[in-house]
Amino acid sequence: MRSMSHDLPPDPPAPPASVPWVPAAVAAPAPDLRAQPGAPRSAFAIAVPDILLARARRGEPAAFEQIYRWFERPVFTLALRLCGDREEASEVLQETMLKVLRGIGDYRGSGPFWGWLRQIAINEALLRLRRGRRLDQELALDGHDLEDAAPPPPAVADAALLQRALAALPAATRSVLWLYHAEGHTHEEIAALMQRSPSFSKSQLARGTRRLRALLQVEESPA
Amino acid sequence: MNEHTPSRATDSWHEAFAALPLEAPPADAWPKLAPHLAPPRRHPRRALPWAIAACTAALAALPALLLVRHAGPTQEFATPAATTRIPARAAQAGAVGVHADARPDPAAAGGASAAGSPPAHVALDQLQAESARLEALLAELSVDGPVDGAQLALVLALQAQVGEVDAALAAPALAADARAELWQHRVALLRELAAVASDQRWDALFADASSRYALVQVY
Repeated sequence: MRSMSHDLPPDPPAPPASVPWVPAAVAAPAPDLRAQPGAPRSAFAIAVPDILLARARRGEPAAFEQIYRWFERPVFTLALRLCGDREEASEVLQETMLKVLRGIGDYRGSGPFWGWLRQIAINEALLRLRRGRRLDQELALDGHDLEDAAPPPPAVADAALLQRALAALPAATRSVLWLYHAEGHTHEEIAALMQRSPSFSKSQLARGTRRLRALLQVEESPA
Repeated sequence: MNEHTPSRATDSWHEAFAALPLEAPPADAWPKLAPHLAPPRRHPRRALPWAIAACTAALAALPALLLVRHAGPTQEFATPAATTRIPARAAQAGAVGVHADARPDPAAAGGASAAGSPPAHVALDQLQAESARLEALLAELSVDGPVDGAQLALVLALQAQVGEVDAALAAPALAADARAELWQHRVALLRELAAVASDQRWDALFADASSRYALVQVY
């Protein structure tokens, strides 16, 4: 395992709508905030009770495991979407959770815990793409960088088709699409995360959406 | 997150992305992760430097003890030695129990030593009282929490030595000088044990803080 020398990101700002949640028991399933009106769509939007955080800060193994279980799949899914490889996503999951649980004392509570954790997961996944020079893989300029305002094709409702189409995109383009559409980040936030400019994020979103649409339409046509 | 204002089309993309099922990792990574999250372990310290420090502290405290003893009333030291209590941790570890020899020394009972030196039975009484006091201190300093491995080894070694002294003291025919020497040795060992116990208490209270300063608590 690599050394854990890293800088944990600052707490993200509070989500637009956070609903107070009081757990019946720590062993309860993760409280999903996405059902609340105006809540973020991200699968990370899980309200972690303060009491559980306090126990984790004290180093209680049961609290560590509870947090791990709640965020295991959101982190793995995000890592898989960004990296495009299950094995690499597993490594991102492990590294992320190590950083989160070891550095949980650094979480200052100025934003939601899930946002802090998600930022670490995104950074970890992007770090791996950057190391492998895969963040250089992006869709080239095609002269049509205007926002794609048309509705997605009906095939977008087919999860398998959408996942396959996403996997066919270059890593940087796919990352922009996922961070924008699935995690709800702004172009400015994506630019900061990917160490690029907001215009890069906008152009990759436009090109990626068009490519995605084309891929889904191809999938729709009969063989 | 700052809210962006998605159009209806991007809203649909949002919904489509959000509707994708969460993926599960191929294997449960928690068993591999959990050992890396164990509480930070204190660095094991070598017993030798620590033992030297404990002995130094005990020797440094000896003159002060003697001064206090001479300044105080003689009756203070007439307390018979109590049954030895060992720290709970050591008892759990199966250390040999020790006992004090409370029997008066018939050889020294009515005799006096050479001119200018205190009578043998007075010196013996003082040693026994000091032994009892240190045992009481050890009982108070005993720590139930986890202890440093090197410290535990040192405690067990010292307790074994105390046991040997007690076995020697239990011999029926023992010369007065030999008995006094054994008691002196016993008191010295108990001082070292008290120094170790004090350090353990310090560690228990202040976790990773340096334990070197705990030595000042012994006396």
